Amino acid sequence: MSDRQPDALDRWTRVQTLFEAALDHDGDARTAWLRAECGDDPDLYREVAAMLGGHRTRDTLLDGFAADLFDPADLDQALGADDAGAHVGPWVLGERIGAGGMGTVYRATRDGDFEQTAALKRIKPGMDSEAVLARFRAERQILARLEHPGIARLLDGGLDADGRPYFAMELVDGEPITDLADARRLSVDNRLELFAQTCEAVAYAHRQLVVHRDLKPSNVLVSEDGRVKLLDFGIARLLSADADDGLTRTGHRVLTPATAAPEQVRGEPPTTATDVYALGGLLYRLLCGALPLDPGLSASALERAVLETVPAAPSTRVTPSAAAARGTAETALAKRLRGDLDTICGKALRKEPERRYGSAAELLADVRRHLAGLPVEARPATARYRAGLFARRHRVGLAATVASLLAVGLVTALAFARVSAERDRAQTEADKAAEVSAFLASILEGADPYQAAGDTLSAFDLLERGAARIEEDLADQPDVQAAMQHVMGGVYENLGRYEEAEALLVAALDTRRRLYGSDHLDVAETERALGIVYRRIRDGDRAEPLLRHALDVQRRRLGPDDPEAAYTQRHLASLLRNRGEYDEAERLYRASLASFRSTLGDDHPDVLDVKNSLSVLLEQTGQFDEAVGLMREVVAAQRRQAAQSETGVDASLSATLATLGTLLREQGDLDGAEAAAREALALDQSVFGDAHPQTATSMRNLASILRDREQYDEAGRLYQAALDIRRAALGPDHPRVANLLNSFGKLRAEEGDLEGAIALSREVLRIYRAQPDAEPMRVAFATGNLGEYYEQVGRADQAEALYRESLRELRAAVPAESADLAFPLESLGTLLSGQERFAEAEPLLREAVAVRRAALPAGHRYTARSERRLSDVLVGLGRPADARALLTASLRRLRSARADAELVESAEARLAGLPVAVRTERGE
Amino acid sequence: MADPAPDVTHLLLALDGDDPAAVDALLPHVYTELQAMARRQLRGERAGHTLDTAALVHEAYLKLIRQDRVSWQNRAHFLGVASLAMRRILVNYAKRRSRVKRGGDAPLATFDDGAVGRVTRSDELLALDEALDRLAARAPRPARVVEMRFFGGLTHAEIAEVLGLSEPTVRRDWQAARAWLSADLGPPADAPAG
Repeated sequence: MSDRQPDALDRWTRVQTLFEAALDHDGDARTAWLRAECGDDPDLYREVAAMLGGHRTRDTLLDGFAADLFDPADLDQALGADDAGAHVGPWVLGERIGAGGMGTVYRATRDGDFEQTAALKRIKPGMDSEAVLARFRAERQILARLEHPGIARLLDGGLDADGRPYFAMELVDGEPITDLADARRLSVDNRLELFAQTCEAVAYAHRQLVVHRDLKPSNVLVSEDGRVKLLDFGIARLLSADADDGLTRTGHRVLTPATAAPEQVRGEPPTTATDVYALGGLLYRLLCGALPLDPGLSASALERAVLETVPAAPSTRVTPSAAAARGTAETALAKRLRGDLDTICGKALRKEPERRYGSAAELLADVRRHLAGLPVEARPATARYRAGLFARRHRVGLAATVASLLAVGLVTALAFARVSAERDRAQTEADKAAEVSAFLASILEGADPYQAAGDTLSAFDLLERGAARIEEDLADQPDVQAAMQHVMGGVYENLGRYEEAEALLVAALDTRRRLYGSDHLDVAETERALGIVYRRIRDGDRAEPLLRHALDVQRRRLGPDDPEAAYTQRHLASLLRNRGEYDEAERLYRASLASFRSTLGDDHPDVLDVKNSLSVLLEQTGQFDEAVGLMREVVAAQRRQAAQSETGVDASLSATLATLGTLLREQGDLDGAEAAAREALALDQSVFGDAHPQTATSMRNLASILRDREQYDEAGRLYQAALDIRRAALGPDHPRVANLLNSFGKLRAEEGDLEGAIALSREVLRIYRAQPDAEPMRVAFATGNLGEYYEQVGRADQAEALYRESLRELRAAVPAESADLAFPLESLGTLLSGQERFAEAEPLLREAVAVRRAALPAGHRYTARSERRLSDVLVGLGRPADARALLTASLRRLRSARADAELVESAEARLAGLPVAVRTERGE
Repeated sequence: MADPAPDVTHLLLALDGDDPAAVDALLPHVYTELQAMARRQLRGERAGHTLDTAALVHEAYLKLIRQDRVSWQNRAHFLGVASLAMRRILVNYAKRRSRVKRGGDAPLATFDDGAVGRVTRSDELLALDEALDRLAARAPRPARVVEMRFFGGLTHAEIAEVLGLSEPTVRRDWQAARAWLSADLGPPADAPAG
């Protein structure tokens, strides 16, 4: 049902509407009415007429319920059909011993040989969808490659009489490892022996390139004689590339939430580290009897806990009954677990796969070392590790990167260390740096899960707590206080909490100015940070002097090529670019690019960042060739980095390719644009999967280019896929869904399906308007688009009303000189001009020309277009001389801006075609 | 030695709207449970009566889901999934009946010894099931309405809850879907051609 086409839906809406309306007409009148309504669409008529016939039908099956169609005794027999005694291949089924999501497991004996028993698994009736069959086959195939005493063996497989697949495995008479250990009151050492056996079997599977993915006690059975057997490779995955046939995508959903690893919750592909995590959870339970995370949480809370909550050390979770089940006392058990075993569990249960044991074999080795009394390899998690984890996990959910508090602290400490070269203050500065670090660490202790078991503080709680303590605890050390306020302000800025950031940075700046005077690097540093905050809240007037002063100080004291100065330069350049001061912005970008290159090398992310920004600026000023060249350099550098990285992907490459694609599209290089967009999409699909919002964005980018290429079918499919993803992720009424519908509408219009475009456009407006904080600009543009579609179907009156509405909405939303106003102004002006309402059109088009001239670089093609349209109006008004003057000036600007030849030629032709004498008639 | 009962509540909470993957995960559990309950219902005091699918679907909900952890939207989702499970149970059964019939080794119909005995109309059900798939390709929402009403025995009010629609909309969808399916299936043998 998910791949439905909007066309089909629209068609159905029409069918249903006509059908309902027809019911209001009677007899012959109905037929006539319907014929008239359907016009030249005989299929539509036939379908609705058939439905009207169906509507009259009495006593259809549908008037009862499905179950009524069965004889109850018959149904009872069918539903109750007992499988026991049934023959499946060479096996006779016995009792049912288990049921998973897709299959049922029976005890079975070989026909004629009751000695040979097996666990026979087969797909439940009705569950034999293609996906389930594929998984079933994969499980069988995986079992076939595993021959190990610790893994239940595959005996046989085939199809039963009904054609349903089955396979028979070694029947394990055993108990789940945790149950057995408790029932027999096994000591910690005995438990570790069983666990080691488990690790051996898993390590074997890993060597065969098989990941189990669902290791939990019920899948780890122990027989009477103490042998461990692994069961249920039902969602196992082969690590070899050729075996990944999409199973993993359907697979990760069926996980057991309380034991799933963070990467599984995130939907990332599982690796051997995923099994290591599960083994860590198993060890944890074996040791202290509790699950690492509280399984009683709601699904979403549990997911969050899997991602964020570091489990308490097993030694802290010991209870008297757990101790009794291990044949010892509570304090003795806690003591036994403290140290090595806490540490081993901690390392296996790390949130990041790469920080766990690399494989089951490594985990096994540490357990063995511990049993032999040797020091283990694992080290306790340090405060630094936990701080990093804290920062990393909050980065996930927040729009901006949460800088690691500690990392920021270290940068600050380094900055202090450098300043401390000023000899007279050396000792003070070193002390201050140490104090800042210690203070940060003490705040982070609040997030120490071993201190506050299971209770995670949010990033904001932690920051607020830190800000409050800075106020109180450091009141007598203003220099340290200001340094801390500076650091915290930066973190708030990263989080997008600009008000808090501003308050802290203003306080820090005041203190620092008071302490050091204005010509000081610490002052410059805070000025820059505050300038960045102002830039973010678009307060350029306050940002500019701060950044300029900071840059001046840094250049003089550190030298022009120092990276600190270069960072400041870059921010100032971005500010100036946004303020339209392109020349100086370009100069500053180039200067900071040069210093970054000389100090950081060509491929450093900061170098690439500046190239990216410079490219945007060059595009804005019409220097397309260099803009494209720079983006190509960035792409090449990121490709090199991706090739060298462990994962083979660079997270920023797809974004860069998207920018490059947009740039090439603007320039009309659709081949290049399409190639870049396709590569970006493929990357996102491989990194994020097919259903991720980021993938949807890439799909949209590619679709827009394909729309330009008039490859409407593929563009439509991509828009639809992107829509499905966004609707699933954000809900059907989210503004970002509407944004896509808007693009989709444009596609429909270009395809010539204006009715479809109008319907989509109305939906867009409905969604935007329903938002409590509707963005007036978007509403205005969508209104304008709807107007355009109406204009194209010849409904000029509707179009005019919509253009006027769009203009009104936009005027209320943007400054009077905004170039955005040009869109509705030009649409309305052009419409009126087409109706020969020249006098009304003139002021509108004049305004369009004026705002575009003011906002865009000289000779921009949008400005040229507005000028051309105004010239038409002037001709219509009988003022060809004015038109000539306008077009001459326009052409001059186009030439001096080195606009592309086509544009210049068309302007020349237009000028040449101007009437010499007054004309009142105007042909189209 | 079987897995501990899968936590259907968790699965239900993960079921975000009509997410097909989540429905896939939930469906087998609901299917198994509904089938077992149907068996009990038919063997219990209601013997001789036809299956009360609506009661089953609601009982399954009470049995499988921890009420304190879910909201009414989740309940609505569950009823939707249960209707789908009920459809599969009955269609699978009809397929088996139909195969047996073609095999010729079973009576065409069996009769209860009481008043409610009736002929099992497997083929008609299978035809309807296919027609419903055709409708779903054109008009997914009305098709869902039919599934929930005809197979799940849900009321219009409940369907409205599941699909997030108003009751009049559900009624209109039902009316149109019923007309479309009746037309698609052709006139019943004993009714005058419309």
